[in-house]
Amino acid sequence: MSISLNAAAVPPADMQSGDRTVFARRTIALLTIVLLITALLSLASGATDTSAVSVVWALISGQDDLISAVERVVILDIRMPRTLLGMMIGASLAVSGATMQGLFRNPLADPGIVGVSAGAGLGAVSFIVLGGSVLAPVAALFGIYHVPFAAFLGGLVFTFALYRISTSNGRTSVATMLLAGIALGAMAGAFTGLLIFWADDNQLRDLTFWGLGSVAGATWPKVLAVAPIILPILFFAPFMARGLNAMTLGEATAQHLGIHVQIFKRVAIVMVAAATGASVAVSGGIGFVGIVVPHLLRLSIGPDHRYLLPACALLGAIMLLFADAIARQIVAPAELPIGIVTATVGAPFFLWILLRRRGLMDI
Amino acid sequence: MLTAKNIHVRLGKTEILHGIDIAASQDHFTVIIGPNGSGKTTLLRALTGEIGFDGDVHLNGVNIASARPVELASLRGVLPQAANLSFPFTVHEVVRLGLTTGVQTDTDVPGRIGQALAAVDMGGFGGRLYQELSGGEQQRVQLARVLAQVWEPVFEGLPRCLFLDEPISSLDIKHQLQIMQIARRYADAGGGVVAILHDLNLTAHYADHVVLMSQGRVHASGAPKEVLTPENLETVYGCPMAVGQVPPGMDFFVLPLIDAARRGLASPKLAVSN
Repeated sequence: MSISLNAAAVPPADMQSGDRTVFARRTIALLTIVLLITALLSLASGATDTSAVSVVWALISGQDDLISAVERVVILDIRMPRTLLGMMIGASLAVSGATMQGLFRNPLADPGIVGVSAGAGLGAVSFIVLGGSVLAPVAALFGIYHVPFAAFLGGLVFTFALYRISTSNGRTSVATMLLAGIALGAMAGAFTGLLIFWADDNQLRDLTFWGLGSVAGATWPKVLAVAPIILPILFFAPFMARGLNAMTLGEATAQHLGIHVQIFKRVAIVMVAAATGASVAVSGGIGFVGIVVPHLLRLSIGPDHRYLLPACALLGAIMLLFADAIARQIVAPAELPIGIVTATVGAPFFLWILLRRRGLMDI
Repeated sequence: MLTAKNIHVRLGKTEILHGIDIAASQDHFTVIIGPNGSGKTTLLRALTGEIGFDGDVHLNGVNIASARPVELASLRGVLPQAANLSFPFTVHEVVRLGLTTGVQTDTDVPGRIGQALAAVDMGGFGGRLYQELSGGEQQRVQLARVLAQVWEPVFEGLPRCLFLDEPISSLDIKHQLQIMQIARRYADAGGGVVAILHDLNLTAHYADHVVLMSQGRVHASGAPKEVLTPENLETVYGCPMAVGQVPPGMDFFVLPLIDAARRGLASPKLAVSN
């Protein structure tokens, strides 16, 4: 340590004591500011040369006559729902990733990797394909919520199955979890394939784009369909923090620390399934946000879920808006599905975590 | 403060504990000893409500089978044999996990963490990553976490209890003594301590009450001098022992009779003679 040479290399006093709460709070404040700026930039960028700032200002100040009808449509009906949807999806993917990792006591547990997204996808695809025929009465019952609800049910069944398979006597086996995830994912893939086989041409096109992951088709109805699911979860998530913290020491110790483990697990599983289901239903397979974001944050602000969960929501939203910006710009005027962008960045990152932790984990 | 009556535990088809009665009082350091597989850890798990059991366990009059976890968490702390963490917690953050439930919301949290770490001789280690510590250091940090949870041996007029499963198993001799002192002082201050130990001499010196287990039953229980007799120990451990008096400051000590043990273990006839 060259303390005398470089004063900046000395960690602040609170880091030496191991207490990262002040640093975590500052990081959350910083991420909030970055998210606001990113959201504005996202509103401002797009195929047409419309200044978001001038439109937003015109709307706020009530000078409606300053903007044209086209500008109004572009900002309010195309970009605004897309930005909002992107933020919600990113936040929900990152928070459900962090929650699942806390629940499984494992940094590799991500809904996308262990088959939960595949299960949610199966639920969604069943309704996309069969919603007009066999499942029509159910679809009618849930209205615009039927695809998110089906995805939620799929995700719930798969998360629950995964937990039951990979956990025995309160200990979760990493290897069993990952292998069970592969099996469950394959099972969901097989049934999804069967449904695709039955789908007609229009449904096929919808399914393909949906499966690649995208927020391109964002509309206000889609935003309104998932907001009542995702927003309450994001607000509720920090209340799970103490339980998730205690769970990192194992189920028995969590119980000794005063957590009602059985109830807590069920709530956490339902929460992950609902958040994953809602995200998958509207945006398809956007992978790796749930693993990259929590991992990066754990390395900087630490694994204390009281700060990790809010920070994940913010950074997840930022990352998704960035990925969406790349997806829009890189082959403009066409657009890449955003899932391709997140997988291109996320998959190598996942491998990097594996390589770094190979010695530390029993896999 | 702790009474358990007729505890039966079944894991799968085999019954591990066959009707155990045990009581631990406040001001007392109770030590459970016995050979491997005699059911010590299973008993501790039953006493802390970690596993299902038949029978009756009351802590301060609270039936632990029906008590809420948060209620129990304010009455007792539990140190498991081993604890792995998969996330990069600092030592400070691990000890803070002990303050998970809001029993002592008005506590000065960083102050309490510092005190708990100092008590286990880990002061100044707060900023280190838990995963990078040695096994013995991790064990002491876990004990600090448990101490932080139930720091005051008596809280709002009620005694609290420490349950420690082999708290000194990977410690050097200095820290073994230090942890035994912590347990001793906790009991002297009015709390209760129930610990599983393998070291018979430390048990002899520090314990008020010894429970000797054998094959899922209590073979003997009482004051150390009554329980740690050559007859009891040889019967239970299957290894001849001498119990001696002396060094000053110690009441008595226990030594395995190495020659006799070699003869005894080599001869199947002697090994089954009990």
